[in-house]
Amino acid sequence: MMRRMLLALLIAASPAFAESAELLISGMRSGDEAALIRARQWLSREDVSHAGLVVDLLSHEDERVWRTAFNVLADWANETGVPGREADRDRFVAILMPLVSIDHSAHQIEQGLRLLPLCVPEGTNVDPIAALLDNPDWREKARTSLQDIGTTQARAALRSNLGTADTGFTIAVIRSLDLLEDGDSLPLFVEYCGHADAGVRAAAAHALARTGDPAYLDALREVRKQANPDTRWEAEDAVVRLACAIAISGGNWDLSQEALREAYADSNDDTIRAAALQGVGRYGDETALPFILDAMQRYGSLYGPGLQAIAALEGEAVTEALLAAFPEQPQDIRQDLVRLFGSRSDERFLPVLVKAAGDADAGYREAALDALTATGQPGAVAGLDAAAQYLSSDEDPAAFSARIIKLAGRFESDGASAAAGRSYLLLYRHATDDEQKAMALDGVKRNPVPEAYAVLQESMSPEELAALPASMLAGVARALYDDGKTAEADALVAQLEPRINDSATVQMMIDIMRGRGDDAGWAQRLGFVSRWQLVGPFAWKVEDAFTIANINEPDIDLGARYGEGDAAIGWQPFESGDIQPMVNLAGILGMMDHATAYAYAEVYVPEATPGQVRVGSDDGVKVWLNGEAVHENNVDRGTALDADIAPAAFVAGKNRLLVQITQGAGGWNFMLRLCDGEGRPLKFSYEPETTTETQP
Amino acid sequence: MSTAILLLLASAAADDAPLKWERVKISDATYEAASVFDVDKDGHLDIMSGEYWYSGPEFTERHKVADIRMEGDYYDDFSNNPMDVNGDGYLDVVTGGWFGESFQWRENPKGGMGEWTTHTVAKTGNIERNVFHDIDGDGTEEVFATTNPVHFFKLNQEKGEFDQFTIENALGGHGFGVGDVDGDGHDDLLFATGWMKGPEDPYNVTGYQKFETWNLGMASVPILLHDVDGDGDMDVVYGQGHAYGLFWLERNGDPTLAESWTRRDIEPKRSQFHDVQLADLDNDGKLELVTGKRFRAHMGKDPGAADPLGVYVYTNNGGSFERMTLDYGEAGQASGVGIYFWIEDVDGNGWKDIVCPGKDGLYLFKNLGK
Repeated sequence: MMRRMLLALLIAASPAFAESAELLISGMRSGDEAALIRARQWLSREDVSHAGLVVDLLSHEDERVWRTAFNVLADWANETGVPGREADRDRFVAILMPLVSIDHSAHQIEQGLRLLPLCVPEGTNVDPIAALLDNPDWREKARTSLQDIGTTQARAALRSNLGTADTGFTIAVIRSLDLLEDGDSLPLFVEYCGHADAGVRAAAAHALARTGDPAYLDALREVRKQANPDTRWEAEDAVVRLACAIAISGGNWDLSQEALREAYADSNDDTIRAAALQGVGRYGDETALPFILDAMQRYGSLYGPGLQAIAALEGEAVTEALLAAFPEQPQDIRQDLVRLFGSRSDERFLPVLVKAAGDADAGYREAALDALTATGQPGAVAGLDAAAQYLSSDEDPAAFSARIIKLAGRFESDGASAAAGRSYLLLYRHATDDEQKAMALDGVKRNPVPEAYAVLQESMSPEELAALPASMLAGVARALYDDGKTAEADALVAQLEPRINDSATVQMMIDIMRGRGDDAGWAQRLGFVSRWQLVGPFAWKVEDAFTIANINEPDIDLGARYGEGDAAIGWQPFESGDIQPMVNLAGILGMMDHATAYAYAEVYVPEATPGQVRVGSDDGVKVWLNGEAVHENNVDRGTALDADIAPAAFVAGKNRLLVQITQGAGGWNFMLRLCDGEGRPLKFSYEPETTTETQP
Repeated sequence: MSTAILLLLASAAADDAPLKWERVKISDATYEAASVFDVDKDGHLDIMSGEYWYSGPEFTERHKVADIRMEGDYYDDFSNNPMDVNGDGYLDVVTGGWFGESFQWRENPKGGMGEWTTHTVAKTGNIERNVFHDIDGDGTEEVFATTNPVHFFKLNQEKGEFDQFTIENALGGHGFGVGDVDGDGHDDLLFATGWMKGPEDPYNVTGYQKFETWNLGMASVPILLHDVDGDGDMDVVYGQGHAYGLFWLERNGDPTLAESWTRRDIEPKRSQFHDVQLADLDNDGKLELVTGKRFRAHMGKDPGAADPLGVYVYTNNGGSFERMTLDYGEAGQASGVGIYFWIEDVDGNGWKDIVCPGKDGLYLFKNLGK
């Protein structure tokens, strides 16, 4: 509030604020610098009735004064141009318009002609300006002023002048009317296409061209035919422009194409030919292709425009025409066409590009590689592979690998995993340093492909192969299985199995091996316990945690029954054949809340070993091994593979596992794996090892 | 105007000159069906398309007809045929749709102004596009809505109702046409996989006999019958509604045998010719084949969907078709023809014009003659 008051006081204290328009104008006359500034700042806010006094100052001998007067008037012109101030604007125009009468000074007329376009609205009589069109000294500035005003009255004034002046000014007026797109002038333009002066004819033709009306085409053709060397370019340009405008206007496509081809053929000017050629391409169909290719071969200057014209052609028929025409073209055109093919992302161009990528000509090969990189088609990898044969001669290895990296990245971002994997394999084979090799291997890991097996076997020592991440090999194994290469996949899995030591690889192996014929066997190979005895449910509350013994745990009796009468429950066997054996207690014992149950298993281990119990549960879990509690987690959660990892010591022979699983609400289940001390799946059996005694 | 220029302009009227056209964009509206008739009986033809009609002769003023169900970028309005259904002297609009599965007509509120009441005549199943054909020769077209079963409707103007007829176990598929295939004087039904020979009484719905003589794929609606090669028998002209190709089947011999029909190319490399029509546009007494692309016929998923749009007129020289391209280019620059376009001398200059609706907008191609 305080700041607003202070501002108000400052404004009120301003000398200019208190000055009347008369005082401001009087100050301007004095030429005082501060007065000029104040006038510029405040005068245009005053009523326009004061504009007449300011107009007088346009003739002031001091340039600073008349320039300020001009600027103030320009401000008035702009400020009265806003909606709602039409009456002020009309009064202001009425004050300004007399300035341009011939009895004023040249300076005043000139300023008037500059100011009036800022404010003359539609409907205003512009006769004072039009009168200057007949004055040799003023006609050019009057024409410009009327062109800038652009109203119906201004256009009519310009139109009225046609035929009254010499040819030079007639051309200028035609151009103004052309710029103003004056529809009423079109009949006059048609008439002027038959004018005695070639320049007038060309200007009229140019003005008709924008219409896109095919009715004018023959007239413009005649103007072109009758053109002299000075006007030929404009006359030819008019035909090209009209032909393009016909295409844009629609309905007469054939006529447009015919006119463009004719304009090309009839011209000796490269720019006209280029414009016509590009029009043929921009609006054309497959029939344009031979025409454009012929032009490119005839005239070197049309090579670039021709390529742009071809690039503009679209459609199925164009694709087929390009493929058909390609082999017949000279090398330079083919080289640029392969770049164009790359931008089309159409797999039908791939064979051409792949073949070109293996060409001995480095420039041609480079174009093909650029195109293959740009195309984004999975088959592009084959082209890069074909080009790799030149790495030992004239192909730059660093640039080549950079290109592969770019391509692989594009495939990966497009979700084309197989193509990305093959690209990374190619990179691995042609990597220029260890960093690129690591990048390649990482890429193959993310995008495993069956080809990776052979490449890695060929290019790596057993030690190097052993050092690869297990998850990467697992991905390759899956790709081999999916590709039907079972023997190679089995061999890779056999190499991989001893190295399975983390949950991610276990999950990957589950995904790979599921449904391949031995799910139960693989479950055990991954350490899962699949055979259990179950008992439950027992009432349970969260606060009970694991404090209440329901079955005299950990010393249990599989023959015992718990509860009274018909409600008594006993142990029941459970065995899963799934590769990831989940014990779904809710399914077996029933959906319920606030309960607990127990699972018991016996496994046999060849020799005593430190190890781990890995368990996922929904909800809480407690595990006893051989009567000792090894893990306890009173939690409300969903099941996840290896959610809890607890150290445990396995004894040689039988090991007794007891698991208690609690249930709050919702799902109720668990899965459990046994691992050795390194996290690898523990080798165990469900029956004791039988030994065969032999007679000495 | 100089004599030379007058002569030049006059020379455009030479008989062998190509037709000249003026394209006028009527609206950005994306309805795919349109027709031309005098909606308000003011003596000027008007343009009807979807939810609006545009008053002639300028077509700059539009009037609401009704709200039409929209599904994706489709409107459930796949034909706009004028018929005075209720006999009140004002032409109504007969339509149907794929999504609503209904045969409908919209009642002209006696002059076009105000909401047009939509009457659902029957739930027929998906209507790809109605085909209108006077199958009983009484001067009024019957309306064929579906292809299997074939539900067709005869107008009973006195009651303001349609009588429904159903041919069960028809040939079905995408594409339909009506005409006298075998020249026996009775209209037959044309399908994508063959034709059904019509009985003497077209309303004897059990009297149609199937001949599975061809496979036209996703054929246009309509499939046309025309003596293309001038040998006195009827050939088949059709486009691919959702793929590449405009073709004709040349008939040589018994029309009930597959080997009597041979496919010939008209325009194999352009796509989505969903509507095809025959009309004499150049007033030479011979019919031209008029068609073009149905833009986004399957929402951009058809073969060639990304290819340029176009409106084409083919002159037929005994089976050799020559294309006149009226429009060609991408949507916004050029027009297609939608699913139900209309040919009529809209401006009364003696030359038939073409009204092209579609998802690219509503265009009028004014035929300026030669």
